[in-house]
Amino acid sequence: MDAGSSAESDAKSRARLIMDGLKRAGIDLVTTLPDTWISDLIDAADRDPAMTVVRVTREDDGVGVCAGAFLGGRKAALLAQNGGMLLSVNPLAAYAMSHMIPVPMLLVQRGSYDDAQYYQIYKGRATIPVLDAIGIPYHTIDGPEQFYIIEEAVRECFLARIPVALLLTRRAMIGTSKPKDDAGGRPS
Amino acid sequence: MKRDVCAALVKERIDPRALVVCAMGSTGGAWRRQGASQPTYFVSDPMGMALPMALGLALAQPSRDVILLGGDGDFVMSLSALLTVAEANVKRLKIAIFNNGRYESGGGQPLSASGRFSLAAIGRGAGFAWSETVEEATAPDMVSEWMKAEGPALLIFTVDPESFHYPPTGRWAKMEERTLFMQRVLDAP
Repeated sequence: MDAGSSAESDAKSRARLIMDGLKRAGIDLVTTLPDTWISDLIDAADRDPAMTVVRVTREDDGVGVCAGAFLGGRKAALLAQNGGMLLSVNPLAAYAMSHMIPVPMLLVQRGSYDDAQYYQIYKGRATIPVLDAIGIPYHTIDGPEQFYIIEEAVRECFLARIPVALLLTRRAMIGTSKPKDDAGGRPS
Repeated sequence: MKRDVCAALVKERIDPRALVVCAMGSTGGAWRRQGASQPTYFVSDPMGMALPMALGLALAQPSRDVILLGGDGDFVMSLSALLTVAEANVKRLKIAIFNNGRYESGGGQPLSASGRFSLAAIGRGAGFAWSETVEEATAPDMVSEWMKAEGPALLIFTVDPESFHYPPTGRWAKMEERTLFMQRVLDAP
């Protein structure tokens, strides 16, 4: 197995571990909108016969679907990038926080030191201040050794009846914190 | 058509075990006045979330009809979710929209392209097998057909402009209303 296929296999293995943590916490429905870093996780959900996958066209719709599922007694989670949470501030602050509806969000944390794109940077800067502003707790997950947080944080989310954001770094999802290239506009 | 007439047509035909998600404003007022016995979750700000929330409820309660009653202004903020609903293909989600091309609760301002768009055509374009506009003469039969349609179905009531006055603040906070709704759904199914 060459290095490339080994890394690919490792990413898929991480995705399965994350999916297992969600399922142990009772999640059987996920709403998804793709991002490169989260594609293996969405693929793992698609392949899991015990998981209902709802593909949304905007992440705030995904928050709404998760909230509606809770009203009917089902546990659902959003899989997206942190920019999707920024899009969803209104329903998160209004429905999830005001109505006390738990919505676990697994968000790849784009725009930090481990990213290499101009257009992602604002997401890295804005995500945590925005979560703080609307009162949503968050945990950064930087590698498989911290995947245990996923199950525990999702359980806490349903106990507390408010959302939680799990911020997944490049290292957690792909296995390296090093950006793939410098094509994002960094001066040479 | 008057909103209350449309809401009454729904009430007369709704399954006793159905669950209702109802938008705020004029639509919510028309439904409240029917005094229906089915558990109803009245959504609040922000607009545009009623449709995805109804989809989530339908995915959680597949053995019951889930009826969404919405206003046009709210609904056009959630057109993106029509594709999601069409793909999810929930069999028992029924959507009724009260359409007069105005933000009734906001002061009667026109929606964008008011008078030119067709919500039923948008529904068909999104993949809904049943998506129809109804007028007063055919409404009773069409509401019955909509209720029995297989798969997600979209019904557009063409309603008259009406004045709107905000109701006084309710007895329960939204979090408490949510809890009371869930008790009725989950503790006494």
